[in-house]
Amino acid sequence: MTSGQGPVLVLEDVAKRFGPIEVLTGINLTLSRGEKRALIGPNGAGKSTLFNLVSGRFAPSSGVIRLGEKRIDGMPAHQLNRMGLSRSFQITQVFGGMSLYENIYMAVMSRHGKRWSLLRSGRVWRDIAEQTRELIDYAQLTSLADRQASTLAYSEQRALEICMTVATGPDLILLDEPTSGMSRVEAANMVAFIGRMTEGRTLLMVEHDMDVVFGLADTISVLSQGQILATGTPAAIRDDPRVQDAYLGGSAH
Amino acid sequence: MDPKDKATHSPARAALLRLVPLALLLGALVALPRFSDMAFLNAMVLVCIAALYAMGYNLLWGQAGLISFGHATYFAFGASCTIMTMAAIERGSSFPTPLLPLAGGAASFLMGLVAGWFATIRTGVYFAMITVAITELVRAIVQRWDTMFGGEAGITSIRMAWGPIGFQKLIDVYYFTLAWTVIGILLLWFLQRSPLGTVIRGIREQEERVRFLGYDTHALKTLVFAISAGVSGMAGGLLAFTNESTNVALYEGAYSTTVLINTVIGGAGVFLGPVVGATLTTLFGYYVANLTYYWLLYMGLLFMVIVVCAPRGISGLGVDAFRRLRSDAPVPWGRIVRQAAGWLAMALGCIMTIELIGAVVQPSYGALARSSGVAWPPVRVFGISWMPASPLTLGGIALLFSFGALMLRDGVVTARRNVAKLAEAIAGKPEPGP
Amino acid sequence: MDAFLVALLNGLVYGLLVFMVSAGLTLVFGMMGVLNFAHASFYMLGAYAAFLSGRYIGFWGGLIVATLAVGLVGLFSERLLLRKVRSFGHTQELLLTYGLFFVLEELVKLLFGPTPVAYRVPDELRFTAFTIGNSQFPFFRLLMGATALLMFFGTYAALRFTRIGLIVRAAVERPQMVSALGHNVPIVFSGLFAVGSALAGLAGAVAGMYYPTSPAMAHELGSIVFVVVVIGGLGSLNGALAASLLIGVMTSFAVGVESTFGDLFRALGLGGLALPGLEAVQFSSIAGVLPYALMLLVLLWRPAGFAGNRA
Repeated sequence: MTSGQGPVLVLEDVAKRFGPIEVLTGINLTLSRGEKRALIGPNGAGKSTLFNLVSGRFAPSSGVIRLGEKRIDGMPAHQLNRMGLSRSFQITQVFGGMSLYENIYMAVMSRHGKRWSLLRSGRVWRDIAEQTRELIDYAQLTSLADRQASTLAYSEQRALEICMTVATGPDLILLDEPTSGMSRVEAANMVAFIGRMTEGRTLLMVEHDMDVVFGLADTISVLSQGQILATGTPAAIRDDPRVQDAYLGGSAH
Repeated sequence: MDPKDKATHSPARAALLRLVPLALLLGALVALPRFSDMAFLNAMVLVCIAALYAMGYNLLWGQAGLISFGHATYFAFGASCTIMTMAAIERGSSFPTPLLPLAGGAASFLMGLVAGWFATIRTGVYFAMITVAITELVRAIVQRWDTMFGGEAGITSIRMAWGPIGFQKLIDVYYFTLAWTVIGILLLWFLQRSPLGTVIRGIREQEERVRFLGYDTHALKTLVFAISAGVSGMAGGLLAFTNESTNVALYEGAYSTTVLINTVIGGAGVFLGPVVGATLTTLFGYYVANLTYYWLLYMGLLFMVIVVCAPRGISGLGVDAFRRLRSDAPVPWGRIVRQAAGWLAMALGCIMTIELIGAVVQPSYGALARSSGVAWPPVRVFGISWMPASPLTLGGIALLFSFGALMLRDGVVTARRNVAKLAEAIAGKPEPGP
Repeated sequence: MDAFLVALLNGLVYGLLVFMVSAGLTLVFGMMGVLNFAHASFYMLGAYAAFLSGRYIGFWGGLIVATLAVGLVGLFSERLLLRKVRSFGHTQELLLTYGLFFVLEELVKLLFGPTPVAYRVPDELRFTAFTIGNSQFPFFRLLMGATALLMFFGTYAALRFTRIGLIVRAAVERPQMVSALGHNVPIVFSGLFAVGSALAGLAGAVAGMYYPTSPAMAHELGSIVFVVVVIGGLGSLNGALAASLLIGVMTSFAVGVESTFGDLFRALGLGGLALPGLEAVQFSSIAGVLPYALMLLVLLWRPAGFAGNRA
């Protein structure tokens, strides 16, 4: 776990090449505690790559990524999670054959370090069950707790996805297009849901939908051609002429 | 976990509904030696071994979604190490005889840790290929290392008495095997129900998700592989204990194939499915293998039919039938009878064809034809003499096949519909693949 | 030096043979993600088909008939069997081809018996191609190598310079995309499956004369071919070629090594490590182990294989 008041996530001069193609160059980025940052940019700007670098899917070609005090670039996913970084997936990845309760239970188990257990007795298991219940209640998914995940509606599965991401108790939450494939109304509900679930936590997300971005983020970084073009508050970004250029003559996506 | 049937109102009643048949079955198995002759008891010992082997194997498949094509290695290694321990007891070691299967299980577990670590680096079909290659690797070494594994002659030992138990009579061996099989299956049951079991199922469904929840999936899969190998090794140990011998032929592909076929026929998706498959093929093999040379060919054909027409195996069909019985939907007797008749006709046609061809291509048949002066001497199938070239025989076979096809046409249509439904259920869940 | 050259040539020929069988498997696998367990069975069928037809129409005719017949068998197994279970996913396909592998072996046993059949190099081809020092290099081995080389260049050219080849290459990389571009991927795939099977059949027809033609030959070569695909990397012809040649040459040289495990342990300073009986075992007797050991090493060093970029 990271500690202290320092930044939660720091990227220093991070670059990523796939063969001869340079996807990201000289990315510098700092997320302070409690900040909610959105990464936006036109298609092909390198958002997904950056996201995958931070979440540990790829290792950067050069540069340093720190979570709190510790270097995390190139670290395997499970260790990243144990250090306090958790991510959601753009294509919903829930355990379809299990109940909603079991889905979240697995995440809470991991937070308590119970990754190899054969027995389910002792105080810690009562805590795990209790915290699972609490989280489900807090997410207002109580009525769905016993439903098999694959039978849930799409937006319910997305909500479950967010719940699992939060349930490992991370310092930093990465959300990959949390409202992709949703209708206007569903997306608006999702924004409120994410806001409630991630209250007081640090958030980094990639999102296309500007309503969602402005609804959730308190700072925005704009990525263009593999570099960070601008970082600032939503209002500042909206008025930045460079950003409007990058987005094809000002039409915001 | 199961969609709630409306008839199972309370969990207690559902549990009772499951436990009572199992208890009855166990009671019948315990009482069996009173009613059974030696031959059947002998067959049941083999059934127990095959069942435990298949259950250990299916931990990997049914729970973790990994299909091994080389499990014979762990079965055989368990047998080898058990026989070596038996030899050590014979020489005066104080290892208690009743714990012998554990020696085999532990050895295979350790081997499974190493092999599993390599095999689970990759998933899906790569995993399958690596298991094949590892089996070949071990086999090549074992077959050359005669002083250790006994070569083709194998190693023999005897079951030493332990306290009051002599282990000399078949009935002792039967109870011993049955007890260890039940212990092994209970172990697997508890593993499945444990928190670890939940994580393993999670790996099967969404491995990446599990990793991003903080679980080291490679280590977990290695552990599952090793446990699966260990239980298979226990089964191998039971075989060594029963036969009082092993040899390197156990390491061959046939024993990997058998367990895979048993699991598919029984059904990988139901906990005790592999037991069903192992029981059927072992008993059939025990009694039918004497009647035909082509038993393995029939088994292979049955395997392919099951893969195409009933991917969830016999126990899957059973579960579906049970659900249907408990629902209000009418039983489609007409369709069931048609299907049964169709498959029976197909099977008879296949058996006739294969047995006739098999007899005709024998060199001895050619010699018979020359000595008797008849171009196509008669062949005995089902205790009846058939003229292989007569239009009656050939026409009869053709009739069987066409009748079967006609009866099954309806079945094919339903099967297609089921396939579509299943595909829909599977969609969204990525298959283990490249 | 002469012995070295002979061992090298033998290794290359064996490697090329392995490649002939691997090429079809890796392309089919790369294109549709179907691992055809029965691919090596087609190799076996090729040998038997050539043996059977060669009796009536001579050696060369047998080669052609075997190639075409096995190609047809491949085509039918794809269209009549594999398609049936495609919607179930790769697991079911894998199981089905495994069943096919098993059934074909048993069928061959039914028709030809479990022991090797007398499929031999015809007398007119039994002569020495050239001599290196005291070692004679039989013409037939040269023919095997030449067939494999011809096939390699043929396949390479077909993939490189034809329109179908372009589609296949693209489909190996991105199957959905190619299908979205309006190409009939299933037809191309059936064709590829048939051609891959035919090549395996040809390899079997040529190799079956040199090595024993028996029901076990599918199993023996099959596991080596899997190693080649794992080492070579997904759908990569170049990777498969490199892996095949490496395995062929390695095995060929190991057969000539007269050291034992005991020598190895002593050389490593582990002379005291007395594994009962193992030190007397000669390396040459377990040359067959080398491909598998190589696979484990490659898995450690580069899990996706030589040419793999998609894991």
